[in-house]
Amino acid sequence: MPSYEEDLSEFERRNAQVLGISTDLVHAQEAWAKTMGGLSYPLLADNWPYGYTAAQYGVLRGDGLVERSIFVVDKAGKIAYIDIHDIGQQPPTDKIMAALDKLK
Amino acid sequence: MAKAIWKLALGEEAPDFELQATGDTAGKGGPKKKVRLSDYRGRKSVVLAFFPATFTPV
Repeated sequence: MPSYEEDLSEFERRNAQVLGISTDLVHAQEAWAKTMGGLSYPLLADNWPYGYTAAQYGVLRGDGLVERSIFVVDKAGKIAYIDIHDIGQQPPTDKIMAALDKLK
Repeated sequence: MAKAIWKLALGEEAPDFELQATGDTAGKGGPKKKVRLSDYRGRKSVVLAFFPATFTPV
């Protein structure tokens, strides 16, 4: 997640809102973001029911962990890009930007 | 490895959600709020970034 901070103006230029989602409670997310000096986008708590939104997007694994993944949703509410990664890896930002560019 | 069971396809409607969230700038003490995906419809593209738990015990 922290790497998106550097790219935030790039997202803004493309009129895109970044939303981080994890199964943590909001106060834990707030504390975690604070340890990184704060973020420029909100973190959303997908914890009640646990991982419900992740499950809807097909990224809640059977062991309860959430896949590190990106979904770009266009202005019409349709899914324009999907990138599901191994938990240890960071999805490539350039591909996200390319997907956003195509929406213009 | 227990993988997720099904996946959405490109061009499909993104499942809407409303979730409790930090402020607009997480970690900077802003007021908590609720965020609904469909509120961005017609206004902005949205990049949903799912990530594993923040303080995952190793």
